[in-house]
Amino acid sequence: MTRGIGLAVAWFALIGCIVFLLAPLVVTVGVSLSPSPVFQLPQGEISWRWYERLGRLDGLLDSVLLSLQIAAFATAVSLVLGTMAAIAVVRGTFPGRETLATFLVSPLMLPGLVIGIAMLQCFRALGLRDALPSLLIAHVIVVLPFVMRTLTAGLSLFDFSLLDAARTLGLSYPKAVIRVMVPVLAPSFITGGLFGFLASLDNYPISIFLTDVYHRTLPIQLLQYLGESPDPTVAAVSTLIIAMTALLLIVGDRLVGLNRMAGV
Amino acid sequence: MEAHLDIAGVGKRFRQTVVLEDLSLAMRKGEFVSLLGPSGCGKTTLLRILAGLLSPDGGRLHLAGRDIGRLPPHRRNIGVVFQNYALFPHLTVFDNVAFGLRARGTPREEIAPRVRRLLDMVRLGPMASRAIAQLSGGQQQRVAMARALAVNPELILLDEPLSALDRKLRETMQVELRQLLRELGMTAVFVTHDQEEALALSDRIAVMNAGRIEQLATPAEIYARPASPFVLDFVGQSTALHGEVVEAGDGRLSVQTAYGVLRAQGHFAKRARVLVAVRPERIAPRPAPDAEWTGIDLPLAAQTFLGSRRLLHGHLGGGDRAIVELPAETEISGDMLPISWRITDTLVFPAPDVAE
Ligand SMILES: Nc1ncnc2c1ncn2[C@@H]1O[C@H](COP(=O)(O)OP(=O)(O)OP(=O)(O)O)[C@@H](O)[C@H]1O
Ligand SMILES: [Mg+2]
Repeated sequence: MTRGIGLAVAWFALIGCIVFLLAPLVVTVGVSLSPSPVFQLPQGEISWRWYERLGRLDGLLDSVLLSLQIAAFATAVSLVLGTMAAIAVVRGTFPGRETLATFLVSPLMLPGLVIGIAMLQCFRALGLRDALPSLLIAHVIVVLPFVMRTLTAGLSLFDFSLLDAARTLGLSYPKAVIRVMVPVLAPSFITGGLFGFLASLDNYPISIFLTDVYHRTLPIQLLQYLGESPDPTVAAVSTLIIAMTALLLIVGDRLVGLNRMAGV
Repeated sequence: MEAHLDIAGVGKRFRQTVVLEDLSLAMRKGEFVSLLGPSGCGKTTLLRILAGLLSPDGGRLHLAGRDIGRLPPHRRNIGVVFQNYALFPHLTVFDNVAFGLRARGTPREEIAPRVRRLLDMVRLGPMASRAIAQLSGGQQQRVAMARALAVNPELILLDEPLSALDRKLRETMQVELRQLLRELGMTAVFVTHDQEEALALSDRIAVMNAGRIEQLATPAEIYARPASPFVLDFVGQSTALHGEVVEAGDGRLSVQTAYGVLRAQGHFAKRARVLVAVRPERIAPRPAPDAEWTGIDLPLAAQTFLGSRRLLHGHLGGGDRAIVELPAETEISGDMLPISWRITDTLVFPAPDVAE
């Protein structure tokens, strides 16, 4: 009897969570398809007018491209740096490597705002005033922890004698890494890279300190639109982002398996 | 005749600990040599140095007339079967075996037939397209063999390749492995800490202890004529009694032990501390019948029944031990057994330091 009630509560909570998580997405997609110029769910009739407006929106395409470029760059750099750092942390015998490992994933735990302010001050102190390099560097810091986290997990299970085997079979060390370690760790690379990429694309609190008029990342641009002309164009953009994310996750799932991606 | 593999004066230390000490070993082409020794004596370290995965502090390495000491692993043409097999989990059985051929840029049309031939040799032909995770331990071991042999190496190194298998399977695999290597005329260094395995498979055994080779000889010689108390102890079982030489001359000795005076052969000074030993199957359950024999009265402690034979364990103190092997049907009564053996079967060593 009590067990039945417990189960019912659990089910209720689960459904509640799902609704709670999905509702904003559904509303966003709905609003983007509504002909009404205010935020409103479509009343019967569906319209693509906000999507048509996207092309004419000033600076939107630029910000999308900028964000994609930054995310791609930061992800690529993080994958290389993160792999090397993870190898050092997992294989090294130097003192303080635990601390180092925690330090390298710490940006995940710090408020973005803090990191943003810190980076701004740091860049200023170093005399770096250009928005683009600042953004690129800052986003490496956004992506790196994701890569570090999945790669240290992956590497701690990686059997390094595989590299020895590949070398005795005729590959030089660098080739052995590329032909054996990279494919074996592919799930970690894909997972870490994917989540890192999305985090960079999505980042607002750090970017906001580093942008200038010519370099606005997508989230910043969107927020500005929302402030200037709050019409459902923003919802249309969001819907496209949701679609892209879903696509990436599906690809990731095909390659790695969603469970494993969420797990590490 | 020039040695196929020549290891000369190789040493290795990690920080202060000396792991290999001025180690030399020469092997003929096609020879099967086991490195036998306790855990931590440096067997794997020596293999890694041979494979080029670890650089020695000094010494020279020659393989097939080539100085390989400075070559990286991928240019040495040495196959390695790793203790955990180190098979590539992302590749099929076929691709694992083909890995070395591809790494060397072997033409595509030569790869498939060669891989098939090797898989047939290790009886894995039908498994070519399996994933590694779908194989049993014994099958994985055979893939590792095939992969190492596929590139036709000058030398194959095997690091306890059978230790992960259960006893029954291990015995079958031993025979198979030996046959395969013999068919190919492959020179092999085989690491094991299982003395029976070493005795069963090897042309010669190098018994290692604390980074040195204590004895390098055929299995029969190692067993019958161990060069040191360590080898005596590590390979096979033995009765071993401490004593003091009380009479010496003409290569004949009398040794006073806690269980009486034993006669033996050897050249030792009077008063020298020695260890007198004999292998269990050399012992007869009776008093010494004539002057060619010598023996003691053995207080019995326990028996182990082994099917066709039985082992009797003596109840001795003070670092002495006794073990007698008899046919299973031998009747033993009482807790005292007179035992004796031929003087020519007696082994005498300078007594090892008390610390041992
Ligand atoms: N990288 C290393 N750093 C420090 N010491 C090491 C290192 N590798 C091995 N050793 C030490 O060298 C000694 C020999 O090791 P090795 O692995 O060669 O032993 P082994 O004979 O193969 O033993 P086992 O039968 O257990 O495999 C050991 O005492 C080990 O602790
Ligand atoms: Mg070892």
